[in-house]
Amino acid sequence: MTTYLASLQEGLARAFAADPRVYLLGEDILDPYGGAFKVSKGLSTAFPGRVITTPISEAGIVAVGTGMALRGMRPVIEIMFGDFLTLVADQIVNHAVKFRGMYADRVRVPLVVRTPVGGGRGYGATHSQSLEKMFLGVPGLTIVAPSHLHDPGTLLEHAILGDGDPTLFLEHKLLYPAALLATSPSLRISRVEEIPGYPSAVAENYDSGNPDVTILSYGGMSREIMPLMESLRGEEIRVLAVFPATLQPVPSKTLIDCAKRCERVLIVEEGTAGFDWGAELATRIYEAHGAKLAKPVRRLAAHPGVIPTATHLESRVLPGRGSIESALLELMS
Amino acid sequence: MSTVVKLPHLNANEDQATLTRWSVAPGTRVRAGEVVCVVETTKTALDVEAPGDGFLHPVAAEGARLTTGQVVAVLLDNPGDDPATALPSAGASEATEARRWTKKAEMVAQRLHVDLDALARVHPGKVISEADVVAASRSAADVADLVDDRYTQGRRERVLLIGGAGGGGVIALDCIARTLHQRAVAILDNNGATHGKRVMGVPVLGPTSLAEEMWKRGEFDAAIVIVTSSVDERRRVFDSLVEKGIALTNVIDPSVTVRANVSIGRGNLVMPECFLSSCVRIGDNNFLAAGTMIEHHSVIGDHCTFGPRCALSGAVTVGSRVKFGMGVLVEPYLAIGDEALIPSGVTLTQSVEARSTVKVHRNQAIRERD
Amino acid sequence: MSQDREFFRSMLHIRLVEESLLALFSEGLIRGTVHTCLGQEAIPVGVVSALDKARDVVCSNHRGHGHFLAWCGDARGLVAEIMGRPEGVCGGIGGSQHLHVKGFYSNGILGGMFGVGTGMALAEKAQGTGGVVTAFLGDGALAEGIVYESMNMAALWKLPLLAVVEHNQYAQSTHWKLEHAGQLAERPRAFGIPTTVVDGNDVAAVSRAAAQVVPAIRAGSGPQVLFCETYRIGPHSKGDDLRDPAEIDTARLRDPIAGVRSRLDAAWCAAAEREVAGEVTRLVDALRKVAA
Repeated sequence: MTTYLASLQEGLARAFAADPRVYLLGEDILDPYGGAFKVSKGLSTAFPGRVITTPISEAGIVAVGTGMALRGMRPVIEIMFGDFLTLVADQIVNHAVKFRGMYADRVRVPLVVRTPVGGGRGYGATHSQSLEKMFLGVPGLTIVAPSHLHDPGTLLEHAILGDGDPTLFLEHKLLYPAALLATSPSLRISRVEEIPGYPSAVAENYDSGNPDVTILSYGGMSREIMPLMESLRGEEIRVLAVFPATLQPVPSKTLIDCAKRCERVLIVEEGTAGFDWGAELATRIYEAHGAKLAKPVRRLAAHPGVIPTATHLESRVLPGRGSIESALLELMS
Repeated sequence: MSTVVKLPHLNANEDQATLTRWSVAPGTRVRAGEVVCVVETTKTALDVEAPGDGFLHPVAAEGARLTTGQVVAVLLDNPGDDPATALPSAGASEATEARRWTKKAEMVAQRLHVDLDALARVHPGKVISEADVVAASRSAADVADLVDDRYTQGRRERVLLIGGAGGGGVIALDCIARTLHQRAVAILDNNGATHGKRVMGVPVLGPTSLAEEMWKRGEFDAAIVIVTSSVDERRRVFDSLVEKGIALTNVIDPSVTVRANVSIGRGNLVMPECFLSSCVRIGDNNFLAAGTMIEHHSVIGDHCTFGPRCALSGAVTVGSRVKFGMGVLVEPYLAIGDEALIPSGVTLTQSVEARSTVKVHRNQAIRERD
Repeated sequence: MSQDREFFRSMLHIRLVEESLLALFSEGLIRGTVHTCLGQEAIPVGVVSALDKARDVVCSNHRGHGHFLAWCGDARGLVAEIMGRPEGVCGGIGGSQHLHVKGFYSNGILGGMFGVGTGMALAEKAQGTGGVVTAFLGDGALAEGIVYESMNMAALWKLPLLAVVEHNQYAQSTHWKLEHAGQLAERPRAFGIPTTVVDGNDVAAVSRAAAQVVPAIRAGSGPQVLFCETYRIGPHSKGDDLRDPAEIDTARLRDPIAGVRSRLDAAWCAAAEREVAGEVTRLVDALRKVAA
C-alpha cells in the first residue's frame, strides 16, 4: 500500500534517473534530513551533486530555476510551505511564464515549483494556507494538485519530464502519510484523461446509474470526501466526486460531463471563499448545464479570514467532512 | 492498579505509526522509562517508554498500524491480573438507537408524502430504503387509479363551442360538464359583447374566425356548433369548420337513452332525456332539444333542429336542414324532405315534401276566462 | 588601436540608433516608451569585447539596447522590434524591454534578470559548457532584494557570473544618494565577490578590466563585479527629464565617444561616422516607409 509521500519520492527518483538534466533545489533537502516533509529523502545520496541545498531565498531560487530552465535544464524547486508562494510571485508571473510568449515562442521554461499546501495540523495562519487562487488565471502556468486518488509520483514525473512549461505542483501536507486510494470495496474509482498526462480521478459510491449529487474538488479535500462518500453509501445518497489533476488547464469537458450526470453540483476547495476555483467552474457549469440544474451550484471553501491554530477553531474555518455533508444534504433538500 | 501504554503524540504532521517490534517479552516486569516497543513514522523510528511500573501485557501486534492515543499495551500490577479491567470500557453505547431508514429514504418519503414511521413499523429491524418508499408510494397510487378509471383530467376531449355565448351554449356546457370524457375549453362567438366574458366559467375568446388558428395551435381537440335557430346558419358554420380540417365532436347528455345499433354522425347536440331507439341513424350537425324521441329505424339527415319534446314514430325518414318546432308528432313510415319547416304542435299524418312549410288550420280563439 | 576603431564604430552605432529611436518616438512610430543608454555606450562595448559569443550569455534589463547592439549588432531587428513590426527580433511581441537572440535575454523587471542570470550561470557550470553569464544592472536595481539573494548564491556556489553595474547616478528621476545607504561598491564585497571599480566612460579601461576578470570567472573562481561609473545623458525614458541641464552639459564633456575619438585619426573618424550614420539612416528610413 503506497503512501502519497512514497509515491512522490519514487516519482522524483524516476525523473532523476531518466534525465541527467533534472536537478532539485530547495531548503534543507539534503540527506539525512531529506526535506521538511521528507519528499527528497534519499535523493541527494542517490544523485550526488544534483540536489542542491539553498539559502532561504525563495524568490532567488525560483529565479535560479528559471535561468536553469532557459539554458536547457529541468530544474525542480521546492518551496518549503505553499504560504511562501507570495515571495516567488514575481519570478513566476513576470519571468517564468512570460519568456516563451515575449520571445515569440523561441524558448521554453521547463520549470517545476513544488510545495506543500493546506491546513489541518494546527500550524497557524501563515503555514496552513492554500494560496493557489492567487495563481489561477496566470496564463502559461500549469497548476497540478494531486489528491490521494491520483498517483502523485507519476504526475510529478510527467511535470518534470513533460512538454516543458512552468508548472506549480501542489502537495497537500495532510496527504503525505495517506495510503493512495486505488480501489475500495464501497467505491468505484476510475480515471478520465482529457489532458495528456494529467488524468482526473472519479469516485462513485453506487454501482450503476446516475448520482444524486456531483462533487467537484481537488487536492487534499479528497481526504475528507472519500470517507464521507463511503458512509453516505449506507444512506443511499449517491455521490460522484471528480478530482482533476490540474487546476489549470481545466479539463472542462470531463468536469462538465460529470456535472451533467445529475442536477445538483457541489464544489469543494480548501482556499478561501470568493473569486475562487469554484466560481470559475460554476460559471462553466451554468453555461453548459444551467437550465437543468435543480438548484444553484453550491460552493464550499474556507471561511475568508486567518486560519486559527486551535483545532476546534481551525475546523470551523476549513471545509471538513461535517460541513461538506451539510452542504450536500442541503443541496438535496 | 494497572496502567495503559498509549501511542504518544508523534510529530506535528502525523497521527499514525506502525508498531515495528516489541522490545520486551510479554509478562516481563518493566520499570517507568523503560522502552517497551519501537514504532515507525514516515520521518523516523520512535521508542515508546513505559509510563509506570508493571508487568507488560501487549495489546497491539507487531506490524499493526496505530493512531495517536491508541492503547498498545497494559502494565499489570500482578502477572495474573485481568487486563480487561484496565482497558477503557469499549466505547459507551455505540451512537444512539439504531437508525430505521436511510437518509435518502427520508428525503424521498417527504417528497412522495409517504409515512415513513408507519412504514418502518411494518418492517421492524429493517433499514427502510429508497426503493421501499417508492414501492409504498406506488401502491397508494394504484388504488387511486381504480377510482379514476381511464379518464384522468389530462385525457378528456377538449371541446370548443362555436357560437355558444348564449342560451344554447349554456345547455351544451351543462351537458359537457356532466360527461366523463369531455371538457369545454373555450367559446367563440360573433357577438362582440360577449368577448372576454365567461359562460359557466368557460371563457369567450373572440369571434368564430379564431377557430382555425386555435386548431393549428392545438388548443382544442374538436368543435361543436351551438347555433340552434337557423338550420342554414348551422350548416354554413359546420361546413366551414370541416373545410378547415377542424374535427367535430358529438355532445350527448349522459341522461340520453341510446338503444341498440344506433349510429350517429358528428357534430350532433343531443340534449337531456332524448330517446334514440334501436337502429336509429342520425347524420351530422343535428340539434335535438331535450326530450326528443326518435323511434326505431328512423333516419335523420344533417343540420336538422328539433324543438323540445318532438316525437318521431318508427321508420320515419327526415332529410337535411329540416326545422321542427316544439312538440311535433310524426306518425310512422312518413318522409320529411330537405329544408321542410314543421311548426310547433303539429301532428304529421302524411309525408312532407322538401322545402315545404306545414300550415295548421285550426280555430283558436283567445277570450277572457268565465 | 584597431580595437579603438572597433570600439568607436560600435559605440557610435549604438548612439545613432538610440537617437533614431528618440526621433521615431517623436514621430509617433513607436508605442510605449524607450529607455536609451546615451552616454553609457562604452560599458557594453567594452564588456562584450571580452566575451565569447559562441558560448557566453548576456542578461540585460530595461535599458538594454546598447547591450543588445554590442552583442549582436542587429540594428534592423532591434528597431523593427521596438516599432512593433513582425520582422523585429521577437515578432514585435517583446518590444524594447523583452529581447532575445541566441545568448541574449532581457526583461523589464528591475533586478529580476539578475536572479535568472544566476540560474543560467548554474546551468552553464552544471553542464560544463565553460560559458560565462554577464548580467547588466543599474544602480537603482541595487535596492532590489533579489539582487542580494542572487549575489549570495552566486558567491556560495562559485558560479560563472559577471555582474556589470552601470552606475549612471540616477534611478529614474532620483539621485542615487537618496536611495542607497553606504557605498555601493562595497556591497558585493560583503559576499566575498571581487569588485573592480572602473571609469565607465573609458571604453579601453572597461575592456581591459573585463579582459582581466572574465577568464578568471570562466576558470571557476566564482562571480565578480565590474562597477562602472558613468552618467546618463538622455532621460530615463522618453520625455521625462527634470534634471539640471547644466549638470547634463557637464557630463557631456566626458562623452565616451568623444573620448575614443580623441585617440583616433580625425579623417578616419569622419568617414566612419558617415558610413555608420548612412547605414543607420537607411535602415530607419526603410522602416519608416514600411510603417507608413
